[in-house]
Amino acid sequence: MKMLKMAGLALAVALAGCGGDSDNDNDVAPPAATSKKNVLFFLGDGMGITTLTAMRIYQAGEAGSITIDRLPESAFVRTYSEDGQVTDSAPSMAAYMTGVKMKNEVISMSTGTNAYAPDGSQYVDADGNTTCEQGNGTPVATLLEKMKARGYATGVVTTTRVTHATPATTYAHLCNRNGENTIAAQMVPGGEGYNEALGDGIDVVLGGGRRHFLPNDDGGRRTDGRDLIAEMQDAGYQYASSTSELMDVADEDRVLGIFTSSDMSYELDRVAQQEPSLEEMTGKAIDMLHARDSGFFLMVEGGRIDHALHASNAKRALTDGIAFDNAIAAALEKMEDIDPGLENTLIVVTADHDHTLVINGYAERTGATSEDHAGVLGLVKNYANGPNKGEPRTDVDGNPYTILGFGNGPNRPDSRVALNETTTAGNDYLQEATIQLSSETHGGGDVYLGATGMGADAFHGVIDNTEVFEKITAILDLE
Amino acid sequence: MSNVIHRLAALGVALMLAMPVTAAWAQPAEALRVEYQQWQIGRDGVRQQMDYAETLYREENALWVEREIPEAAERQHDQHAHGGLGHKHADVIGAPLWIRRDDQGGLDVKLVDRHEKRLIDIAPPYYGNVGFDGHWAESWALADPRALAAMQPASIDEQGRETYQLDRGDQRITLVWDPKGRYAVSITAQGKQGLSGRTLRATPLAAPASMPWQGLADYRDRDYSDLLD
Ligand SMILES: [Zn+2]
Repeated sequence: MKMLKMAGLALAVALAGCGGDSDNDNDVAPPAATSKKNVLFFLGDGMGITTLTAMRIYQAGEAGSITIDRLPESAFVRTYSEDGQVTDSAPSMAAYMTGVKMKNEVISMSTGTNAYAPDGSQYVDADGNTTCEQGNGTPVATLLEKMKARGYATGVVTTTRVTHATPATTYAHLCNRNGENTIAAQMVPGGEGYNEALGDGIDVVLGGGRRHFLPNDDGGRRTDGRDLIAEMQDAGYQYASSTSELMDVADEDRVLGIFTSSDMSYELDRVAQQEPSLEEMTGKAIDMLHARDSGFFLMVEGGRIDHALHASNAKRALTDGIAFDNAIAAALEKMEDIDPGLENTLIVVTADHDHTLVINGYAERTGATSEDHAGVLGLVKNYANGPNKGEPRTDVDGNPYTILGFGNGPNRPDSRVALNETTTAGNDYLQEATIQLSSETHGGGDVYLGATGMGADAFHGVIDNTEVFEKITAILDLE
Repeated sequence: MSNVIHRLAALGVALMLAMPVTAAWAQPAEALRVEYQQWQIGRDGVRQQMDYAETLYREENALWVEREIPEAAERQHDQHAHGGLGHKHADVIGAPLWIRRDDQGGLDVKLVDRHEKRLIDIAPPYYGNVGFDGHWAESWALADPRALAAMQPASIDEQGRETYQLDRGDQRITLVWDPKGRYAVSITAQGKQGLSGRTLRATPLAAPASMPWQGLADYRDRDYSDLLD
């Protein structure tokens, strides 16, 4: 393993040094031949079990199934971090990607790494540059890095900024997730701050977050004057900034696709010409990675399910959740074509943490949501036979209440009012919360993991998030 | 964060009509103090009441809404440790909203974080999270002047203020409009059974020496989603 990684590094140096046609070629060990295995890791950010259930009811009704429901293997995953009963995305995704427990807000660093200084400040400046100090932890190898070192193609796809915590854990190492300028630089082959463990670089990077690639006098947030998009192009990447530009990239090329300054839009707000769907990005990433014919690792994040839940806006969370499910469905279909029976392909779908969403009251079955039917976005209604069947149930003051609610969040009215389903099924409705906070928090419940394909039956029972990494590396025989 | 829903729930007069982008009346009031009150009697006989006040600064295409926060409450906030990006959410509780309108009627909404010197851009999906309902005219004038046409004119006082009434569902709504200053002087919504009520009362303030959005030059631009982890 160590040997191979060194070899990968040497190759990267050779490529960066002289544009490829090097007479050192013979001195460089080629990446180990892989048996063309594929790993697709789907991460629904914040997609707790209640959110999954609500997604199913929203899309297919109580008795229906979405794609995630059809995955044959499953486990429940503990998500606590080194210091948190409730985790954030950084250590939870990093646990999947590295097998190491770390503290909240730490990106793929050793146990014990601190995101906060003793005075309570974070190790980051106000522009998003890291202020992590030497000796505050060491990088721990990620699944993407390990597979890259073995010669696999690699890709990262998200609806958040590509420098956001979840995607960052696959390719970057930092004591505090908010140093997104620093994280971006870790992706750029040959540039200052590059993560050499990525060899000659990630093949496919798709998402939002242009602002961390551009200097601040060019609409970005970089204070070092660097234009990382230009640097990526110099390093051999095609740059795509719209849906059609992405689709026009040749499958054999490498691509940096960044479609928005910050996060990409919620599915409900997305303009299709400007921003590809998660399904489109996933499909293109598979085509490109498969074209390399070397097996691949692809991480796909439905990253904004989490953001909509923080806003306590269930509708945007569920529609982003279904967009994520659609991406999984498209990937399954594509991979069955490429690798019938998924003999050499492992697909894992899980979440990094829970949220405080609840399904409240003794609601009558609603079936799926449609244009003129609120479904699970509606009010709790009486299921029992009698004159009140189908009528809204009420609180102690006689006011109806919604099926979906939150343990905490921004909408906690001092006095509840009569609601109707036109309101509660509206795009911008914020479900009510028990504890008022300016934005809703993550929750501490276990999350669901579904898997299919090569070695998927290794996933069962209640497992720790670090075990997910161990199982995948064992299935791939990486250690 | 009482901003959130209080701002949304404050007005019972939700007769949303397409808002006119042009308006060329007399000099409107540049600053208003607006007091809100809301009460309700529950089935258990307990009466709950909520009050707060905001200051509005207004130009033709700009609006600043700032909650009055007692100094002691403000101090409590300051004791929180801040550092770096301060991406933790609680820092923007009670922060002023700065809303601008362009010639096409498009809105630019910013939350002003004085503690971290940040101007937080609020994209439309997050309007509700900062207590803005997306309606410019209602926010700027406290009632959409075009909604008055749907109400019953009742009287005009000697200062030219017009009183309107409307019965809607269980509620009687009374609105006093100042056409010169271009704002709702008061709005009262009373449940006919006497179990709930809401009032809003606006008083003009002397025009400020400078508008609060002057002096934000060294603020950093941030996005609302930066506050979410
Ligand atoms: Zn989150």
